[in-house]
Amino acid sequence: MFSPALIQQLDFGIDVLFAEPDAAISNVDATVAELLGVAADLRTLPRPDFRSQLRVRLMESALASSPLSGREVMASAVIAGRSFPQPPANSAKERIFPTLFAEDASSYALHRSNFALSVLAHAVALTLIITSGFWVDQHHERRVQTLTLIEPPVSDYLALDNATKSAGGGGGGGDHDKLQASQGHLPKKSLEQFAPAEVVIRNDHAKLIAEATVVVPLQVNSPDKRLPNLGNPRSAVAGPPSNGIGYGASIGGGAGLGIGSGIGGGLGAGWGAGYGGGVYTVGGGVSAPRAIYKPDPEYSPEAREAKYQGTVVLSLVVAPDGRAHELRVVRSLGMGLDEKAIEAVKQWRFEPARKEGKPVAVAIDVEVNFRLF
Amino acid sequence: MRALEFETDERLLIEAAQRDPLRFAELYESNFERVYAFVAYRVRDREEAQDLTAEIFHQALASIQRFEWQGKPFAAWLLGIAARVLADRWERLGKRLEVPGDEVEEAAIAAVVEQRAMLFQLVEALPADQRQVIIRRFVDQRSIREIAQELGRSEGAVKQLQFRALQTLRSHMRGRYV
Repeated sequence: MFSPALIQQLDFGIDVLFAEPDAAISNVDATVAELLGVAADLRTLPRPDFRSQLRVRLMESALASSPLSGREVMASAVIAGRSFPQPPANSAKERIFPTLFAEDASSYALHRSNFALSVLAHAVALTLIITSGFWVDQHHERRVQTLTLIEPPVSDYLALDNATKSAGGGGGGGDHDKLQASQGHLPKKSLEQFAPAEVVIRNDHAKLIAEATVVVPLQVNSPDKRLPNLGNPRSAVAGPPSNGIGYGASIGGGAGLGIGSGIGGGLGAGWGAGYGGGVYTVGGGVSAPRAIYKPDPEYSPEAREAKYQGTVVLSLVVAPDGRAHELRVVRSLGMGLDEKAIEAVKQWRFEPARKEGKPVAVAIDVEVNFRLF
Repeated sequence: MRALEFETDERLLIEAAQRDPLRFAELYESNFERVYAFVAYRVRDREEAQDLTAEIFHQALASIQRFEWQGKPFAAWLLGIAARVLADRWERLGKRLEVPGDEVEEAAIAAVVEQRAMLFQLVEALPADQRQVIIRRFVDQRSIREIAQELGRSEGAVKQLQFRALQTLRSHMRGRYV
């Protein structure tokens, strides 16, 4: 570590050297005196860039008088290990493509092959850039859903009250009674049926009692004539109480566990669940629902891994509130894609189908395509 | 043996420069400090020393073809040109060039010139911070306060760098001359 006093002494001495170049500095430490001698010699230290600038000027002069060609100048420069200014171009082609023609001087060795390699490298890079876009596009997982409405048979769809023809849903029952089913109100509506309705109870000692239901969508407003007893609301027979001439169970002249002249657990003259006229299908004055919110389904991991593609067809009922109900797989793909399709379509929201300007429930089929691009 | 190798190398360099003036660069690099120190010792002014040094090397480049190898170092030929350039300069200014009185004085001057040439080379080898301080202090002639402001350091730190740089130069000079 240096003494602060010596450092200060040296700095003071240097100031004196600048102020009075010929002055003798005395009464200083011996070390400082030696250092002041070095400092005195440094007063004419050349500017740091002078040496390099002079070299450049000398080389410009040398270049002008050099008998060598551009290539020889370059070789000479390489041997000398220096960078020299470039000589003036001898021809137009050298000015345009000095690297290609390798006739110019520069700070690196020139080869015609460099130009070819450069062109090749640029071509490869350009090709990679272009093809990478296609590759990414093709390997990007794209999920496309299409809403396909399966054209239904054209027929008249009328509400239960005015129905004159059978419709999509329906039910029927009866216990082979001699009398037509009596008129009455409907049991509780439910999508699942544990016990059919009965006007005349045949088993007084049932071991397990369950509430009687009819399989009708909950959102369907069925006619209710506020009658005191259970029965078929469409029956023209007020009494006596009868389960009807049909078979199966429940009430009516049809077959099954529903109510009415149809077949199934629903209500009315149609087939299956639902009620007379059931859920509408598109056509005959019933507009098609339109999906207004369609979140993408996910690809199941196993299907993605297997690069499995295809289309799942779902059957569903679009209720007047625009939600999808009663989703059922019509065409299965497997590998978890059916579940993924249902999961997604359950979240869809529709602008409901309309009949005479009023929202109505309608059955549609939906195709959900799974594609890997 | 080493001197012989040096002579041979230098002679080859001179012959290369005579064939191609661009090869003069190597001769310039190896003799710059010596010529500059020779001139600066006499003119004691940096700008003037730089101008004269440039003139000397341009003359040497122009006349390299006339150089004849006589076993003397190339530096001697360069210093001969330097002496003529200085004499012309003095003559134009109406002054007389002070010539050494005898061989002893001539040798002493040559030693001082060699020492300064070495010193100028050693500055290039200083650590960056020390070199910055030396350049600003002795070439730009800045005060310690100005240097401290430029480098963003305290005045005490700059003074210490200055001290350390001069001590490094002195110790290296001793090492070279011992």
